[in-house]
Amino acid sequence: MAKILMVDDSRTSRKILKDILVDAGFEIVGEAGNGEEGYQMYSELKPDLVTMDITMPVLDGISALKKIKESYPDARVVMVTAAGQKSKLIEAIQSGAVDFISKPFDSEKLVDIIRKAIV
Amino acid sequence: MFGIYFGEFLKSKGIISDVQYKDIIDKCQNSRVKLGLLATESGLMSAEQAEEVNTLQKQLDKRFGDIAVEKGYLTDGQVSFLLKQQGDGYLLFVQSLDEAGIMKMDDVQRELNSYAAENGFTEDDIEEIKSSDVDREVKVFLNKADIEDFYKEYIALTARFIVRFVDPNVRIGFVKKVNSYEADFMSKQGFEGDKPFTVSFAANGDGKALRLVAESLLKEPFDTVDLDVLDANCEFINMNNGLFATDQHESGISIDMLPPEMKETKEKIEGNMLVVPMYIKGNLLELVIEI
Ligand SMILES: [Mg+2]
Repeated sequence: MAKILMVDDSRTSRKILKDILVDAGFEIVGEAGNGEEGYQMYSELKPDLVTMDITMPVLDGISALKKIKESYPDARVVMVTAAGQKSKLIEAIQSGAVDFISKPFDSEKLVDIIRKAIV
Repeated sequence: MFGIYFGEFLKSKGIISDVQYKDIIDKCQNSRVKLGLLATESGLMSAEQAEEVNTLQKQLDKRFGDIAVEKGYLTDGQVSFLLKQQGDGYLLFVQSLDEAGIMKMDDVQRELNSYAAENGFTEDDIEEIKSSDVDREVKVFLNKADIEDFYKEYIALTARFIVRFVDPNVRIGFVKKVNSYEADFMSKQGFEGDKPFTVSFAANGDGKALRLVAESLLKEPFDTVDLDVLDANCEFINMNNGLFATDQHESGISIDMLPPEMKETKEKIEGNMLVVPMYIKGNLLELVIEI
């Protein structure tokens, strides 16, 4: 079972995402509320995949992605975005994000993207 | 939906009670306009003819349209035209008032005139509100406000987003410009970039409107406004704002969202603001835009 770490400052967003992922058979090994926490938890948990929100306090998702990729070049990170963050998405992909999922979530599409991102 | 607007007005005038209002709105949502009313309203049949067909309909197991055609009152083409009109929000509302014995058509017209006069609505405005199309309804209210199109677009988008996720019959009020604002609860998010501004969903008292927004996202009921409710509203605003940022990006304005904030206790804010009343299932949510 693939282990996933969720990084998102919104507990609402985490809950909605978690429900979908657990239903699809994934294991959520950790939840972080900002990019800094996400980096720390990545180091401890070494998950198979990270879902990374972009807009977050303390350390935003793009900076956290860069930080994780610097220490762990093999890390697989999928960005989570509200529509409209295109320029940030380009930066994220250039910084090594595997793919992205958009809010509001479309469960089927989301699970498909996560499955492909893990392989 | 027209009935929500006009019904509120009738309630405020003491013409209908809150209970009657709720009954009528329920009925409007569950039924369709009778063909007879449509036919007389559109001038295709007289009231007497419609009455006659109605009576016959009760005696015969036949449809209104078929009887009217047999009687020579309507053509087949007219019947299919009228069938298309069924579902008209305005007529549904008037029909429900009539059936409940509260008001007749003439009285409705008189009250409708005074509703228009009190709010400064033209005949065209009233037609737009009768459309039951949220975009057209909202435009009537926004066009009365002296504010930039940029913010009008934001407000219209937010109304559509609420329609999509929370309440298909959300009702908007007139936009107010204020310099200071206070509310018990607020979920807010700012934009940075070419045109920075901040938006909040705010409510007072039991915060029912905020709870309804949270319930629509989390699919669970909330008895009080807690951090889960405020977080869900932030997330709702965040998704809405994402769509707005995309739209603006396409017209060359680059804005991006900042992390949201939650205010669980009464807080006062100062500065140039627009306050837009939005009624979610009848509960006031104030959309506050700090410009
Ligand atoms: Mg966020």
